[in-house]
Amino acid sequence: MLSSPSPTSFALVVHASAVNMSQNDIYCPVCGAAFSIPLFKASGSRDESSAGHDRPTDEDMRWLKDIRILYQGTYRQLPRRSVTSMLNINFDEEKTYRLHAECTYPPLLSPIAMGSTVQREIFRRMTLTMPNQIFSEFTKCMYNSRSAVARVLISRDQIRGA
Amino acid sequence: MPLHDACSKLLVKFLDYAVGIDRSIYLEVLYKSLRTFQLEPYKVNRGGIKFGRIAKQHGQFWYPTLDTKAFVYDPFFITPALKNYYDNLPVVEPCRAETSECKACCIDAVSSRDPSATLPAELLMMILIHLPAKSIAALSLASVVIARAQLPGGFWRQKLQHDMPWLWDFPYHRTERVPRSLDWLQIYKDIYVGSKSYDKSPFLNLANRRRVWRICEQIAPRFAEYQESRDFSEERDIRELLWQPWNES
Repeated sequence: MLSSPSPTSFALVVHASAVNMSQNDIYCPVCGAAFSIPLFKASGSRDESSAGHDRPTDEDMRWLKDIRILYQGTYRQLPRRSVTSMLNINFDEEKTYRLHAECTYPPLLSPIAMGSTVQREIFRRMTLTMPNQIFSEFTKCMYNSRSAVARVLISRDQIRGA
Repeated sequence: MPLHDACSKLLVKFLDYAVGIDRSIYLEVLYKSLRTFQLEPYKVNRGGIKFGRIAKQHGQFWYPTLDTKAFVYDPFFITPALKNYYDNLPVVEPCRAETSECKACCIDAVSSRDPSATLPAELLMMILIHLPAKSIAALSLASVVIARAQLPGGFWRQKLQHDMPWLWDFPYHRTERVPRSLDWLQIYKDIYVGSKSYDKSPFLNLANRRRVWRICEQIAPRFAEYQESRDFSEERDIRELLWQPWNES
């Protein structure tokens, strides 16, 4: 995991199993899927009884707590490849926030993969931490793109300070 | 260089099966092999790993598509549908079982111009074992002898093991004693079709397992080459950075 960002830096806190991740290493070299996705349901230590059901496991919930994008700076400074893989955030020159949710990925749209409870939980956490202005734009984008969820949490303080 | 836990385990399984692993240098070899791929990520047609359909999701945006649903399935997890299938494998009907019992491999010599008619049945079976299923279908269209050949259940069982080495959780995988009533042709068909579809298959975890297995096939030659050369002058102290998949159950 990366540490807290400096005023003009970007920090991506990823799932604990994907350590030492650099900006260019966001895809698993074996399966080709991104690391930001909780790729496998009911694997390893997960509670297998919840597989295929609309119920997040404890590990899912821990994962949700760990994922967030903290950003301060202009759009040009954003490591585009990494960020757009998770959430496309546009900051224009007037410092008005335009947030475009394009981050949905089949795992989250698939009820078998993650379950809508997780989606709702992510959505709830995102909206709780958002400033009202961003939330307004966010809901518009979500509606327009028919995206059900964005799987990142925006740090309210960090965005306000940008 | 991170890997998914499940992918790492699958890679170990594959490499152990395909080229053999020297565990004392496994991490160094793996690191070197994957690193050389990563140094040429954009040379897709010149040696980089070809990820197939999931590569479409590597762009700037991720688009929700139904035909990539299988990519999220744990290749090691046995879904309830698959477990149910394993518990209730198809069996041959009694009348068909009697027929297949008495015919080990019955091949009619129908056409004298058909080159397949000149080959002994055992040789034809050996050829068919190594042919992909699609090629067998094409060959049966071209050859009346092949089309009329009644291949025994043992053939399809061998073909299942030959074509699907990733099917390690199959109840009778690599075992000698199997019920004689199993319909191996139907089992082969079911798993072949089920592991090919990425959206509607009841065995999506098998589909993902097969997909990752195919990707591992691209890594294996380079891994074998570096394992043979044993030159790791550039790789230092990576043992602490890489997770060793066999240390966890």
